[in-house]
Amino acid sequence: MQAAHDVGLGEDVTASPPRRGPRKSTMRGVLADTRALSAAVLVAGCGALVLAIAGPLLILFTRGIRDYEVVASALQSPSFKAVCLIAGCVGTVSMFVGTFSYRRMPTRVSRGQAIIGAIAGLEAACLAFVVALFVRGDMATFALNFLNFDGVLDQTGAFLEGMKNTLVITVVSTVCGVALGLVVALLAVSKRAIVRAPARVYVNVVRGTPLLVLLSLLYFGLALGLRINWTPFVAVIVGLTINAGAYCGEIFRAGLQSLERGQMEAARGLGFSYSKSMRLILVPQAVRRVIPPLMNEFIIVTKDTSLIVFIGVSLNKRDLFSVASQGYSHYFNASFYVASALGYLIITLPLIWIVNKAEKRLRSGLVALG
Amino acid sequence: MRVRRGTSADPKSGRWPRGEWNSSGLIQAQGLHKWFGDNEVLHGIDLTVDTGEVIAIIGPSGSGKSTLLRCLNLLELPDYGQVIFKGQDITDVRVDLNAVRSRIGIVFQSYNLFPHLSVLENVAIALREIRKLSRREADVAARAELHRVGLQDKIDAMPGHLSGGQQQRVAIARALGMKPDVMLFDEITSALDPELVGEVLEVLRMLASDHMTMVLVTHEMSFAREVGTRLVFMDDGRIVEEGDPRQLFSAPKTERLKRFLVDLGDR
Ligand SMILES: Nc1ncnc2c1ncn2[C@@H]1O[C@H](COP(=O)(O)OP(=O)(O)OP(=O)(O)O)[C@@H](O)[C@H]1O
Ligand SMILES: [Mg+2]
Repeated sequence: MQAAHDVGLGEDVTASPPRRGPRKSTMRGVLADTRALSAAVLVAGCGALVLAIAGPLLILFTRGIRDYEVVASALQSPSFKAVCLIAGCVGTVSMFVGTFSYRRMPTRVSRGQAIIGAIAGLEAACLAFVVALFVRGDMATFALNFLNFDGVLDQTGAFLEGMKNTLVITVVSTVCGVALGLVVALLAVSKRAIVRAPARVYVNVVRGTPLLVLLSLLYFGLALGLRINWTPFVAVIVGLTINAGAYCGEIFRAGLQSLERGQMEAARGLGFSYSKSMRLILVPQAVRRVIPPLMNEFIIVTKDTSLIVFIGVSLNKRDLFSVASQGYSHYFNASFYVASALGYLIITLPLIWIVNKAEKRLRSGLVALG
Repeated sequence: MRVRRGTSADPKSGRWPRGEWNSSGLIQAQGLHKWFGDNEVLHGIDLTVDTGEVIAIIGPSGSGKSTLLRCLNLLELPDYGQVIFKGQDITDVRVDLNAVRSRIGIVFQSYNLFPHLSVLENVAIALREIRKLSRREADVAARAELHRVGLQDKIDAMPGHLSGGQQQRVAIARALGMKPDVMLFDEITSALDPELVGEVLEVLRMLASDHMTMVLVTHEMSFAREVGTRLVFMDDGRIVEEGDPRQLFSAPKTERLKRFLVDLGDR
């Protein structure tokens, strides 16, 4: 590493000290001319970051995380604090050294090393000091309430069932919402105001109302008016569909309007009717363009399913959040929420990954082309 | 009185514009007026296109050449006046415009290929969906058209991977596939790099030698002189001068055409 560094600097090093020496104070001169400095900042900064992340975890895992009392004592142990403080201090030092020296680094590589080391140090310091500050508090109560998974593990089956139901609600409402949104978008791009108006009203009312209010009105109000007696499960699917329909409508409208005017003209010029031009030429292109925002809507709906608890929870079809909140009320243990957060991440992280992939493909032009 | 697209009567006389027209005309524009807001872009255009003619329209930027061309297949609805295609007034609202447009090919400056479809599919889709050919027949016909414009080896490419000249030739093949009675070209070489203009003009020459009826808006004066059977000079929404291209270029009658040609020469 050091050898490679020296080779990389070869020509610059001989040229730079005489030029810079006289202009800088001696302290700064030393900083700029120390060839190993950038590498040292890099190693220290990244080392501090690794220590800040892995150190506390290592302590927790070697002592065992099954028993929350052991976890609490590990969090308050001197070694835990020491690790945080060491990581924080080393991080701080590399942050300052890197910040004040990177401009004087002689090569692009060493400059980059100093910058990365400084940023890694900053991140390490923030993380380590926040954790150190946090564990000064009442860790016994914290572990009892948030890291006590005894009750949660008894309910593993219920959690899996909850994840399944959450996924069902999400998929059904998103698919219906996307279909509804496409119809709304087609109305919204009409040249006749009379056709656009209902779409605009629908989209703006739904976008302008809290989803919770919409769900409540829908569940309780519609039940009275239409004399239907539906379960919260179905009501939430309908509510989320209506909500997603409005947002997807806006997404599709933006997608359609982003297409060049010439596409419609070319289609009409060939003799396609308006509806065929839309169906065969414009909509397929618009859909390709809006895949990332649509996937994003999917993620949002996943999380919005949790609002079902506010209109009532049926025992046989509980979503992830209902399972968690019932476990919480039963045991007075917030670890159920921690577990549900993990459950949501298990659903959403793969989706987020797919969104990012789709966006990359879109940017590299592959989706746009076909 | 028949219901018309746009408003009904001539703005000045308050009567239907009534031109004498020669029944052999394939497309005929009569007294076309077009406004964009307060901006009158066409001030009463009369133009007859006979079968087999190659009409070159020239004129300064903003003179309404594109608007006139787009009025001929009613992509732009004229506010007054009629367009008669094969003896039928297509400004009548009861006319099936989609059927009419499928008989009039149009090619734009910006190609406007469908980027989500392959080259073959760009040509074939209209044959299936409008001409109601089977997938096999449409593919055969599309291949033949692409062969005609020299793109037989780009059939499976996506439009985004083609050069501008190749894209424009696909656009021509797409329009030709419909076997139109007349082709409208709106400055189809203007967006091309100079070295790609030739291959597109070559296709136009081939069409001219096949006696395809064409109306082309162009800035390529030498090409207009070469293939045009008639030259139309437009300025400020009016046809200022029309006639034999060679004559017009060598001896322009109006001051405006003279100035236009001189300005062109200066550039
Ligand atoms: N959709 C439109 N809305 C408003 N104004 C328009 C529209 N299309 C054209 N115009 C105006 O009409 C006038 C004539 O435009 P047109 O495109 O027909 O000119 P052109 O002769 O084709 O010019 P160019 O050589 O630059 O293509 C211009 O002043 C233009 O600004
Ligand atoms: Mg034009």
